[in-house]
Amino acid sequence: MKRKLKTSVIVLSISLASMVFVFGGCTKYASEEDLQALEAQKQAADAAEQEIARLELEKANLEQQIRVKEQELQKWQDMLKKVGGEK
Amino acid sequence: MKSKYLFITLMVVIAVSLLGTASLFAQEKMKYEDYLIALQVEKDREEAAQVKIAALQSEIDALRARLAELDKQILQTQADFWRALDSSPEGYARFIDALNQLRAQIQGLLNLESGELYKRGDEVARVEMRFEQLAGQKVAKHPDAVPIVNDIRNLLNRLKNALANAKPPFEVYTVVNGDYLWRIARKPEVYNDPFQWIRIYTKNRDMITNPDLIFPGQDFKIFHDVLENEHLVVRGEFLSKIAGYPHVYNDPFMWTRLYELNEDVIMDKDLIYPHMILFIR
Repeated sequence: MKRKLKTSVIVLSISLASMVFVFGGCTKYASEEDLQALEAQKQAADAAEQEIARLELEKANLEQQIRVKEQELQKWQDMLKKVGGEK
Repeated sequence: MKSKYLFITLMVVIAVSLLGTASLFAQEKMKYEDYLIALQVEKDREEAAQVKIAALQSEIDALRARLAELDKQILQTQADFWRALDSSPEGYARFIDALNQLRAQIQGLLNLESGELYKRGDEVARVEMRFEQLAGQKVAKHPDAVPIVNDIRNLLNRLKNALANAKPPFEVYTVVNGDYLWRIARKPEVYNDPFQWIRIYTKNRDMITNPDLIFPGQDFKIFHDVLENEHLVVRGEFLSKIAGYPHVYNDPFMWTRLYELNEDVIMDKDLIYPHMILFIR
């Protein structure tokens, strides 16, 4: 009886210990500093993409301004031609 | 002995439970391999974005340079344009104002009745001269001014036609044998009022030196309106009263001026008659 009990305890302990290793494992995880570094990198990438959006808007505005100015220049050149002042 | 084994079993179970719980928490942390992958992805994203930013910045610089060049060309073309017109934006604005004033004046004249227009023939001539002066300026070639000038030219032509067709505000009466001023004024086609003989006399003073002496064949102008530089005397008026009128001199003491202008028809400065036409200017 004693022997049986001792065997049972040993088997149970080994089983439970094995289960701990199965669930826990020897896996390595990222530290808090790593995660903060990852977050900072994400923010930097987001900021760069926002800057792209801003620059594309600025580019579109400049292109529109150029179109307007080209029309204005054409208008003045046509008027100059009409009054015979063409160079 | 039994209790010893039971105690050991219990401790093992508790230890296992704690470890099991800890391992469950550990599963919510990021695995290091995953962290490395995610970090590289974000780095690649940022790098690609920086490349795009550099390209965009370069394009924007080129666009700004183009814009500056266009501004310069516009300013130069504008300067050439105004030089060709011998004017400036301010000068052009003044020119347009002058044209608009002239147009308003012409339209005013066109709205006059025939007899009134006839009297203002001199004004029409001045308007025409002013138009020629304005239309002859280089700035009249401004593309926006051309239709305005043409419109005014058309109005002026209409005005000149209207003036050519305008009837004078007087009729002409030719003296016949036996006529005298009282008799002429009495005629229905003249004034139908013999007392207005003096109106015929004062209005035709350049032809009638003596109202008692007229000759057949003389042409007298018979006016029914009073011109701007004239005053038709009515009963109760005298020279200082007339001089005091606002539309005359607004000063009764200026009666002497009134007298000077009409000395040829006023024998006695204290005596004027109804129906006399006096020059006030």
